[in-house]
Amino acid sequence: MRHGRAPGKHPQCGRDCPGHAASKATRPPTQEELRENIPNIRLCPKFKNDGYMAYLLEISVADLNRMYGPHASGSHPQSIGASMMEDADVVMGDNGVEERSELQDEDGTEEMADITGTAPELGHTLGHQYIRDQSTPGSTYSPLPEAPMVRSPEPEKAQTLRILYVPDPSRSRDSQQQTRADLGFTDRTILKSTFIILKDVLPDYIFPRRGGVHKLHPSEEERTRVRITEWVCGITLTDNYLTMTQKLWIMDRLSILKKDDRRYFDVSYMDWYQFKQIILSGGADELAHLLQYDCVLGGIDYTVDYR
Amino acid sequence: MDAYEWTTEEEPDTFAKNIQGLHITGLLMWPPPTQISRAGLKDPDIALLDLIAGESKTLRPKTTTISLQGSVDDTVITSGTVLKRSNSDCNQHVILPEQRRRRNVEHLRSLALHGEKWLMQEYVNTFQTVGEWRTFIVNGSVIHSIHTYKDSDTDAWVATQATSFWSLEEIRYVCMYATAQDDVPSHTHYRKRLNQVDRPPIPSEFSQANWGGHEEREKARREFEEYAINTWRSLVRKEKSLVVGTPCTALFCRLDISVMMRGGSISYFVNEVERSMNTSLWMSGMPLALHGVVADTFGLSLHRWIVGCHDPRHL
Repeated sequence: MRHGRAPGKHPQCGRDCPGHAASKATRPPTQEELRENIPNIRLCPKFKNDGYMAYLLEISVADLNRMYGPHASGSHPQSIGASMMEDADVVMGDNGVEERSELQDEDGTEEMADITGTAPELGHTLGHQYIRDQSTPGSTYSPLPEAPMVRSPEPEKAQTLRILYVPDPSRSRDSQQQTRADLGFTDRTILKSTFIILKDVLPDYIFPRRGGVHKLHPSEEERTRVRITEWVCGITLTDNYLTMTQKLWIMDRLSILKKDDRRYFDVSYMDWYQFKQIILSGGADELAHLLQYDCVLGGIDYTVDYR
Repeated sequence: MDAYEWTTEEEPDTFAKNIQGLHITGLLMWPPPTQISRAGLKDPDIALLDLIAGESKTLRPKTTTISLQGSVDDTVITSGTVLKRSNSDCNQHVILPEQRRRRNVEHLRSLALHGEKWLMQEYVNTFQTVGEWRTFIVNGSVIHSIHTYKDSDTDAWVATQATSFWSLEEIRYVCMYATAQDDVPSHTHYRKRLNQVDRPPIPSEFSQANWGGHEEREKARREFEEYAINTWRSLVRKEKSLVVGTPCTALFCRLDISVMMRGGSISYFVNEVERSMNTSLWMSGMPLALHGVVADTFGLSLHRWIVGCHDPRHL
């Protein structure tokens, strides 16, 4: 829990302090720290909704209230978050009488939801509850005992995945001449720095075109025109474009949780022959290196004449 | 072809076995090797597409496997069919009806030394007269379609982005006109509007329909895209019961769609489903701005897929 933006908490806070806003040396708060700080955090407008705080802490609203006491606001007879949970789990029957949802069985005892099966739906429901709560602060429904709160399997923040791309050798070409009539190649204008990397790692999949190096804008990085195999082009584009898309994604999906500049993919390249050698007779270190990647794109394409 | 540069006969199998072993220890690969291996056989896809066509009451060219086992002679090869080999996408392994010298058992066996299968597919002349639409479905949406045909003079592929479509009824009319059938419908307005007074249309004219009101053209586009997306949906659902994990066609695939006629009826049909990383994206026929859209859409769905695969709660 960082405190650099709350000077009263640590008056002499500097960059060497692990709690400084700029520091990356963070750790999860201890139970004692949570107990001490949560009443204050609840005063913040953003956290006046217990549902949101419970979501961040990965516990139910009921647990939040049990562990840290009821919400400080005296305007509601019970916490907003708790009432939201009731709204979600109680529905009105056809005759206007309130009915329990399927989370509670006929005996009135709670039936635990299968976390694996219900997580995505409940995850989405949480989002709707949060929005709905802005106009319906209270509820007259009686609370459900220990309504389970499960989280969506969506990651809390955009993960930068490590990708190893192994271009297929059946699409490599010896010269630009050979690529002219090849449908698997296309002309693109890419960043010069990207070209230098690709030309070094994948010389048979990218060729410089006439037209030279230019800039779209004086302040921009130099670009160069190339003839490049489509999938390398696609992956490279993905690599470049997703910095922008990721921001949109975070804004759309996770803006209330965090903003960061992390990219979706960190793409590395490997020559097919090196990859083949590792798979066929690689040592433990080389195989361990492969396993560090979140995904390998490539391998034998059995839809071509691969033998 | 020896692009993979195997040094022994056994290496491809050893490679596949080792990849499978690494998969258990946590190596994730896209596309999943077992699914691409299945796609390479061709007939599993054909069986599913036949089933889907039966359910949707659309036409499909009949395809059968040629049995080259034992002492068989050339009569096992039905004349007038197109011969295709499994595990190949190149012309060497596609034999057209007119290539008579290559249509014999000995030749087929010489090109199937590693147990590959040969298939016979009913010849569909609309590949030449109408062409094909290469439809890209990424993350459950039709991103775009490229109309392609082979230029009869240069023997080179021509690709154009399809931005307006003919309706099936319009194609049916011109196909019947082209084959000079007696029961050509008396749709004189087609004749007038399609400007088909003295000749059938050439394939390039199917790339774009440049007549009719916007509503009419939108209806034709919907007819095409609904066929594509409904077929894709059925295909992914059926694959889900056959493969382990998410079918890679759910993330990305290209449907090669053409039309065929039988007894005066016409319908679209899927000739091939491509999903490997060698799938031609036909970027030469794609507007530049669309390159990024395809890459982005694919990237986002790939990210979701990878995160899901590593998440034990993923369904």
